[in-house]
Amino acid sequence: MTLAPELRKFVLTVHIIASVGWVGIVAGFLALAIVGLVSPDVQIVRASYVAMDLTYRTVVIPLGLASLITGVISSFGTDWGLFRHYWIVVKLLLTVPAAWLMLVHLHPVAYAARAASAMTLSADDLAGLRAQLIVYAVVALLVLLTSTGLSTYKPRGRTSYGARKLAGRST
Amino acid sequence: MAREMPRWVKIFAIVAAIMVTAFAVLHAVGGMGHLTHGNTGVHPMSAEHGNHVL
Repeated sequence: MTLAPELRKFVLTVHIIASVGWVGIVAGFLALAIVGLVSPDVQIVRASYVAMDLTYRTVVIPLGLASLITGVISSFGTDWGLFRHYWIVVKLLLTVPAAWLMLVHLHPVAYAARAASAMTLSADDLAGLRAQLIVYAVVALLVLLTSTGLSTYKPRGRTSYGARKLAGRST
Repeated sequence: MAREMPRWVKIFAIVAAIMVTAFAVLHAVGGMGHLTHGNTGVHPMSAEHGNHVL
């Protein structure tokens, strides 16, 4: 199945916007997570976790899912395919777990926001959870930057499946 | 026809395996646990925090 050129460009444009936006909002999320952990100002800590919860639900998750879905459509709808080149397979292997982890951590982020809203968090309160949010944001950022690099450099290497498809087409 | 896997894919696989193992170990020992086995104790909001009327 190959997409019409106009539709292919539209899907690719949405994919780029969603992916780059995803990187940006995760970087913002990391900044808020760090401020939420280290700031001595109670109001700033509270605002950080509330903002994290809001942006997580309204921006991070929609952009992440949009990036994944448009990426898969773009692959299937072009000659690149989803399993023909190693760089696309690796991107998929990075993005699917990242999206899954993103959905799994909806509850902890909401929990931190509720706790910060209702109570005064001291440095020790929810320390494990707050540190964990930073670690996950760092890992997510590394994964997304790697994924962006793969998309840009497109390192060589066809999978066995991709080689068979290429051979089948040329015969 | 067997194809040689590119070196960068092998490096990626090794790095990914190390990271997944590290995360699994951290979760197993509770170092990164949240909610169910993390520190969820919080103090009630005191009157002098955030409730000022100027």
